[in-house]
Parts: sequence; C-alpha cells; structure tokens
Amino acid sequence: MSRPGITEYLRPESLEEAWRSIADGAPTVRLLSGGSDLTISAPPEVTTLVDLSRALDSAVSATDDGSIQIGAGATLTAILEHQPLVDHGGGVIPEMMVQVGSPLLRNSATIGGHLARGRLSDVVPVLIALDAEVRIHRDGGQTSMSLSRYLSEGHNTRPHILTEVMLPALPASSAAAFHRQARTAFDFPILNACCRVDLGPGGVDQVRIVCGATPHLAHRAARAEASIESDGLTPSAIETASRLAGEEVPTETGWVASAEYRSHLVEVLVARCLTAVAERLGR
Amino acid sequence: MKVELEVNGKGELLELDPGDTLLEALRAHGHTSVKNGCANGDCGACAVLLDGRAVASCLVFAAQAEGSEITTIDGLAGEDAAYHPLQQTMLDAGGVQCGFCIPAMILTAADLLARNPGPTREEIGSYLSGNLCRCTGYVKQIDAIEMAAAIMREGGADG
Repeated sequence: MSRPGITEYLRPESLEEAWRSIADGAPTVRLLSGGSDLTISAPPEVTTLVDLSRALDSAVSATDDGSIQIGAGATLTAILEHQPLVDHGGGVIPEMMVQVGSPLLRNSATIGGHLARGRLSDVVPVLIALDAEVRIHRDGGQTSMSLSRYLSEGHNTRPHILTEVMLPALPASSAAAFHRQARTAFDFPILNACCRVDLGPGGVDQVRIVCGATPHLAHRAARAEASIESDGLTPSAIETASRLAGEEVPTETGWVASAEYRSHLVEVLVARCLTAVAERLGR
Repeated sequence: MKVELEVNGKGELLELDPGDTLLEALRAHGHTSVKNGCANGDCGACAVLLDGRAVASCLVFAAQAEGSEITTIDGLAGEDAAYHPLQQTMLDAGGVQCGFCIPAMILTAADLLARNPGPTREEIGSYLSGNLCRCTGYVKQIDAIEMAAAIMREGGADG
C-alpha cells in the first residue's frame, strides 16, 4: 500500500553518495534494495528512501578456486538460477531457496536487503552453515566479517551498506542439507535447520549445525557439531548429536509455537538434515 | 515525482508520490488489468512482468521501475494475435472462473515458460505458488499452462 509519509526518493549513483544519505543514522531515512519489505512494513517515521539499485553490484560470480561472490543487489531468483550456487554444498541453496516465499517475491527481493533486515529467514542458517562472509561499506571504507558476526553483533542495525556476500570454497567431500517446519509452504518457518559436513582423509573433518527461527535468526549447536566430528555420521552418532542440539539450542515461546515444540523440532530437523548429509556423502 | 517507463511497449511518464507502489501507479494510470487483491504480497493478483520477470507489483515502489519495461496482460499477445497461447488455453481448458487472479497467473506462467519451455506439472505448480486462486483447485490452470507450453514449443508464439 502507498506510504504517504514518504516524500523523498533518492537514487545515488555510488556507494559513497548513498552512504552520505544515511551516515548520521537518521530514522527518517531508509535504504531501499528490492523493496519487498519496505513496501509493506516501512516504519511510519520514514520520509526518505535511498534506492541502492544504481550503487550496488547485482552480479553473481564464481572463481576457479570454488568460492562465490554475490553482489548484494542480486535477487533471490538470480541466486537460485546461478549454476555454481545451485551446485554449492551439494544443492543445499536451491533446496532452501525454493521454500522462500514464492517466485513473485524472489524475483524482486535481494540478498542484501534480506540479510540487512535481520529477521525471519530461511536463508541465514544456510549461509552461516556455508561459512558466508559479508562485505559492508561504512565510514567511507569497506570491511568484511562473517555473516554470523554481522548479525550477532548487530552490525545490521547500525548505519552501513551491505555490498557483497562471499561463500568460500568447500572441500570436494562436503555436503549440506536444509529442512524447515512451517504451518503452510508460504508461511514463515516455525523452525529451520541446516547441517554441513566436510570429510577429510581421516573421516569427518568439519561440521556446521545451525538452527534458525528459534525465533532468533540462527544459533550454532557447538556440542552437537563436536559430537559428529568425534563420532562420525553413523545413525547412533546422528541420534546423539540431534539430542544434544535439542538441548543446547535456546528456543522461545512465540505466537506460532511454544519453546518446547521448537526444541523438539530442533532435534527432529537436525536428525533429518544429518541423515540427508550422510546419504549425500555416501555414508 | 515523475517516473519514465515503458508499459506494454509504449513509453509513459507517470506522475506519482515517492511512496506509491507500482500497483497503485499502474492502476491510477489506467492499467486496471493489474488487480489489487491483498496489497500485501500474499495473493499475487497484482503480478506484472518487470523487465521480463514476474513480480508482485504491490511489493515494488513505482519509482524503482524507472527505465524499466512493464508488461501487463494487455501487452502479452503480439499485435497480430488476438490472444497469447496462455490466454487461449486458459479459456480452452476452463481455467477461468471469476477471473480475478487470471491475468497475474498468466503473466507468472509466461515468466516460467520463457525460462523453462517444458515444465513438469510439479514445476508449474511450484512456480504458481505465489498466485492464489480461491475459485479453483489449480488443476485446469496447470492443464492450460501445459497446453500452452506445447503450442509455444511448436512455434505457435514466441511467448
């Protein structure tokens, strides 16, 4: 619906020009990327939109070493249609992305806008499980950090422009899987989980177990990860790790689910993800 | 503010407020085939093609479309054709009941077929997941899109 309080629309040609619009942190100014969030939930105090479409890169590119760079202006559809991203982590990105909203939403929502808004996301747990980093523009310079740190330290709530998402290369023997639980396919998740396992010469080398919508964005289950790293991907090890995850991931009661139900879902979804990963790795 | 764009192949200069959505701007300028359903991104009745991709026009500020090409259902058929295959097969298959959701559903299907000329029924259903129809069970609409895909693969229209 129309936002009559919005009286000014800026189209900066560069990041520096965009930064000058938001540097003082005025609550009346909002950065605009895809628009799917602000069109329906712009706070009433917002009077100025700063359209980043001319300042942000929207390209997705893969390098020979297997790492992938995603311009913050890339739509979720562009990510879904980029073959190296489709293949990354054994197909976990499309597995998750087709469950995010609908094509109508994914065709306009951008990855930068999605991450910067910092709420209700199936994307975040998957990117954290893939060790994603983000690059942000702030105070006239660029800095990089893990997506996990970007969100947990609240960088997304301070004046900044998210410019790029970077995914490091994964080892050849690596697979990930994603599961979510929601009331309907179109609903926001009640809980989601993503697990990634890298194999090395001696067995399991590295594990990521990330749960989201707890209702917080993402929480790594460190004890469950250590359990798989030590005991491998056997059915009994998966059962133990899932139980540990259910115990250690903090959950809260909200209007869609109780904390107890969410904790149960942690256990169930982590088990499903780890089982899928074991199958993908031929274990 | 003024926003210059192309609607159905014709240049237009839209006078609008910076907070207007594309849905509101198009309807205010006579493009009433773009339906206002929920205005909240849920129903998909307002879908248009924005530079060839189907988007919910209620989730895009009109100013974002500066310099873009918009296609509504009125611009889907070529000048020499009464109907686009997707329009004709929707009629032939009985996919239209009240019709409110159909323009957007056809445009979404056009986006799909432009990228995937031979989608499975599951892929069609998945691509229509943001287009709600409260009259039907989607079966005839998916039939229609399958029929249109077959016609278009045989060269019946460039889509």
